[in-house]
Amino acid sequence: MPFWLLAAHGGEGAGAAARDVFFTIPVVGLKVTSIQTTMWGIMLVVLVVAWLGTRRLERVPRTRFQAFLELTVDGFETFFASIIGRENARAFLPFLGSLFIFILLSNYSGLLPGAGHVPGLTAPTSNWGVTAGLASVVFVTVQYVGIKRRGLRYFKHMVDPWFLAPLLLPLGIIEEFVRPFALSLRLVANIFGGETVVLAVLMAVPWFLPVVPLLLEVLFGAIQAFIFTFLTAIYLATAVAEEH
Amino acid sequence: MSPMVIFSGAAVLAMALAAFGSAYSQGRTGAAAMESIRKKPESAAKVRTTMMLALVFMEALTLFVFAIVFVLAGRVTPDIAVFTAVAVVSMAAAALGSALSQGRAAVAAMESSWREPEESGDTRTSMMLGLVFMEALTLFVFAIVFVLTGSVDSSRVLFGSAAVAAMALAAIGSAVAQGRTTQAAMQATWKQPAAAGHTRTSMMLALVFMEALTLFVFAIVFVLNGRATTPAANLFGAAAVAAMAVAALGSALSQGRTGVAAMEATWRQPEAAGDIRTSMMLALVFMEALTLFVFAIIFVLSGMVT
Repeated sequence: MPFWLLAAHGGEGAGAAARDVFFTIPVVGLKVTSIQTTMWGIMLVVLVVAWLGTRRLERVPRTRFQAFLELTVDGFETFFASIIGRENARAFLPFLGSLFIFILLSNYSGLLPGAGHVPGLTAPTSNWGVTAGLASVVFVTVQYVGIKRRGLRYFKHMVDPWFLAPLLLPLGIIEEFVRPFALSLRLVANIFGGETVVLAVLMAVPWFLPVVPLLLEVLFGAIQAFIFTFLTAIYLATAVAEEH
Repeated sequence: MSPMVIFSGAAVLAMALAAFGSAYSQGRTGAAAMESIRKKPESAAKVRTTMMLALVFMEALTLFVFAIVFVLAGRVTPDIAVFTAVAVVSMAAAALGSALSQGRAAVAAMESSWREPEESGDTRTSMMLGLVFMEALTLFVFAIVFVLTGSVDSSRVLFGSAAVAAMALAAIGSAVAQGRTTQAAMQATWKQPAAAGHTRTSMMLALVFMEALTLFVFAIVFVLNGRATTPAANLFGAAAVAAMAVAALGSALSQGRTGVAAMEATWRQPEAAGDIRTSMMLALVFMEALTLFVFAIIFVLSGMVT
């Protein structure tokens, strides 16, 4: 049995590989895991593509590359506009777009051959720490944007009507924290679960059958990235919405 | 009783259950195909292709059970006889659930084929999508049985048995919800052919949520399998997977109702398809979160038990 199949028999296949220290930065002694190196790789890919595409911008796209990037950005904007309105979509597009692209590439990095088993390559979103980090960013952004746009009125929905405030306030505060919690858990459970299924099916029947879970993984990777961004968009829109 | 007798008894029961499920659904599908051809003889070839595709999926479910019986037969020892018996019956239960739900979806697809022959291509694509999801549920159970077979020994029979049974329960819940949603999507396709694309997108999103519930049970079994090293952890693991299964079952059944209602709303009010989809997803997210909370608490507690 190949070594990467054996890894699953420990019961913590994907998890164990994630915690492996890939290398240690010599002088400061910082431990770098495969998850971090994969995230650096994804950042590099996104930066290089963005830099190449925007190097010589023209009002009328001259290269197909620029036209493609413009279509992508425009597609994102139209999509988010259909959920949270054109004005909000335009304001939050950089944040939402970056989230989507990063999560999508992270999910798909787990589908590369050897991911989770060769050092230096593990799907970042199969680790709860990473998705919790992403969800924390969403949490801070939502609170920041809400308070910045609406000041103290942002908290009004938690104490309105006033006579229910003792009940609504704790519930409202809990809800604010449950949202990023569920957000992070949904992403990690889906990606980790999907990877373990692929691994287990590969172990059972190495020929043909793994195509089914792999196909589902391709679908899940995109849809989970979509759901994460979709929910973030709705949380942002609710935070800035004036009284309904 | 010798271990092989326990296993063989369970295995024949499992095969019969699976065969019954596949046969029943294939019968319904075949009958629906005949009716479809009688009502619209000119589209007989298309109906036949759709029918064949559906029958192949249902046949494969019994083959999965056959395969797992074959694999386990070589590994039966007195220590794990109970586990192997529970495993094959759980596989059969999952296959039965998937088959019945696939039958429901396929029958609706046959009806849609004659009521709206123009859309029979769309109908077939949607049906295939639904069947793949339901097939995968049984595949998940297959995979977990395989993983556990490699690690279950005399001290872990309780955890292993609970885990495969829990997986089967979750798979049945997801299958029921997916079957109903796919059926509703088929009906929406012929009732409002103009919105077929919208219907399929919403259906696919709903099915992903329902699939994820079984995936969560799979993930927790996988994690606990690595941690169930002491008797206490074993006992905790068995209780934990049972809890996960109950939670997933509840979420799945509720999501099924939401999915069906969303499909109906889409054909009655196609111009609001986008709004319906957004609302549906928000509702599904809440139901999924309930199972995720159980997942999280098990994850945290299992670290303390060991």
